Amino acid sequence: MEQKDIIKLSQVDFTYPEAEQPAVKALNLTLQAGTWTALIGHNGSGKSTVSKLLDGLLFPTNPDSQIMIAGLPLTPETVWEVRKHVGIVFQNPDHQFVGATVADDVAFGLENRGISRAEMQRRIPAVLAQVGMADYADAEPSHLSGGQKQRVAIAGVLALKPQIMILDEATAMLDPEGRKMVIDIVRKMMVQDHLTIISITHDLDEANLADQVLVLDDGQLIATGTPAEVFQKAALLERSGLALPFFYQLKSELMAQGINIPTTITTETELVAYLCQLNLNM
Amino acid sequence: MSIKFKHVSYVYAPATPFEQKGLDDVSFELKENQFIALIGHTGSGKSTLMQHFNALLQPSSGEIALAGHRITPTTKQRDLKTLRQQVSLVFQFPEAQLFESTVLADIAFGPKNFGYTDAEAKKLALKWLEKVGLPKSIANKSPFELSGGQMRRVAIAGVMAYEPAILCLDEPAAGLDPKGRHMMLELFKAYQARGHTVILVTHNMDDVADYADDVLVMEHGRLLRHTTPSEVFKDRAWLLKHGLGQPAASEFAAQLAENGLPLLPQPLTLTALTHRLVAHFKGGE
Repeated sequence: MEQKDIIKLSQVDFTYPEAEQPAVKALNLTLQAGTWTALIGHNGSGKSTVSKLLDGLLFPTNPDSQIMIAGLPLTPETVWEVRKHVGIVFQNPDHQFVGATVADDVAFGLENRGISRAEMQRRIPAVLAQVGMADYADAEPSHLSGGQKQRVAIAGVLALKPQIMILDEATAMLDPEGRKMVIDIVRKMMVQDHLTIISITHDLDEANLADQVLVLDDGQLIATGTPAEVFQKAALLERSGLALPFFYQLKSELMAQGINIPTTITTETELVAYLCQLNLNM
Repeated sequence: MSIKFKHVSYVYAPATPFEQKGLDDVSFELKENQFIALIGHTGSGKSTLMQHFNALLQPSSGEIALAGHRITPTTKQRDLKTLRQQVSLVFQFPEAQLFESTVLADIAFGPKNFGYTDAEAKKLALKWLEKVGLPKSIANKSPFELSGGQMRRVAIAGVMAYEPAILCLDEPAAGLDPKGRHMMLELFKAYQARGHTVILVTHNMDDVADYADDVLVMEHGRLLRHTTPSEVFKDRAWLLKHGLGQPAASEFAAQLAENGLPLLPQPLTLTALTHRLVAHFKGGE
């Protein structure tokens, strides 16, 4: 029902005070509700600035810029209303904990919003169950593993029922197991709650799982499209300080060495099946 | 000379209700001037072990010998200053420790602290600023005006500038873009090749496969294995059981093997995987 544009940026410019170059230049962007978008780009390309613009931590420096979030124009007047719809999970979970227990920590955001105690008692167990942390409600956050901490941080965001969740390098510090678990949970939430996900990441294999990939360089979008479309542009990505996900690297290496891979093959599983079939036909 | 741990145990908050074993009877011997990877899932004791390399933590029992020092439960901290110059730790998010007014002053702080003159320290700082891939033009900027990735490099330059014989780094490349990550790891590899020991704490199995000579695997404060990357990545079931992953190339090869196309010996890197596939399909056997 809600296949509408939940985020719309038009001609967004942002220049930090005293900076010579704008951090974000003429950015136009439309994201649909309930989709997963990966925002990639080298360090200093403007990714974090974009996430701060989406949450009203920064405002465009060009008066003609427009940012629409969940149907609201984002301005200093509407920022508090808009923030109700946007949750952010940051890279370092230790910087985000305030509560003495896991449940207290999730309650913190709800208290800030003036949610009633009865409602909090309903929501907290529900979101902790959603992220698989129900058994840890009374645990001290400092005793959790990195992956568990990030799941609690996500629960804290989910409890506020946002429409948009921004993951700002949220899996960068996690071990492979923790990383996979966080991604799986967020994906489930996306489908279940029709959540819109924006994942800012350097993990290109993670970006490869998104519905849409945006590549930012010097504050400008230099490529957008499905992962298959974007990761075809190997030279462009490399010039921009990025690399290709493993699957695309392997495919291009094999092609370069004379093993022809049909263009219809776009996933690792398909490539495995294709190579094994090739082996049988030998 | 080598780095030797003999039956090292470490107990957090001993004789309190919070008593917890950080390290449990850990013994190993590392050759110097190698690239060592230290792996294990979160909470396995990697950081506790790392902090023993320069005696930020001293063993509760057992003994450590490295860089001409012997560290026991009773070693006095005041005898350890030269150890700290020889063995440096770079923690996660080292950029959080920047504090000077300029980039150059921040990098020069370490060398100055270990007795270099102002002029020498400044020269070293300039050299390492460039080595970590930063433009000279930022030397007089405040480190706080830089991007996160640049701040990380400034912090690491500040440690490498006094050239410790043993450099221990905890996830130094996390949060860097692919090019920055590659550059950073190549920098450590070159540092090791010039006659230093590099110990890298990492979750990235591709980095282990690409760079490490030796691997230490920790779990529950115990040393589970001390071996080479090719040995540790051989047994997929064992890795899964211990919450560890495989390098992407090995993972892909395992899927091929499951579907009737085994490649031996097991490839650990993209290059090795490509070679084996090309050899298999294009002949040459």
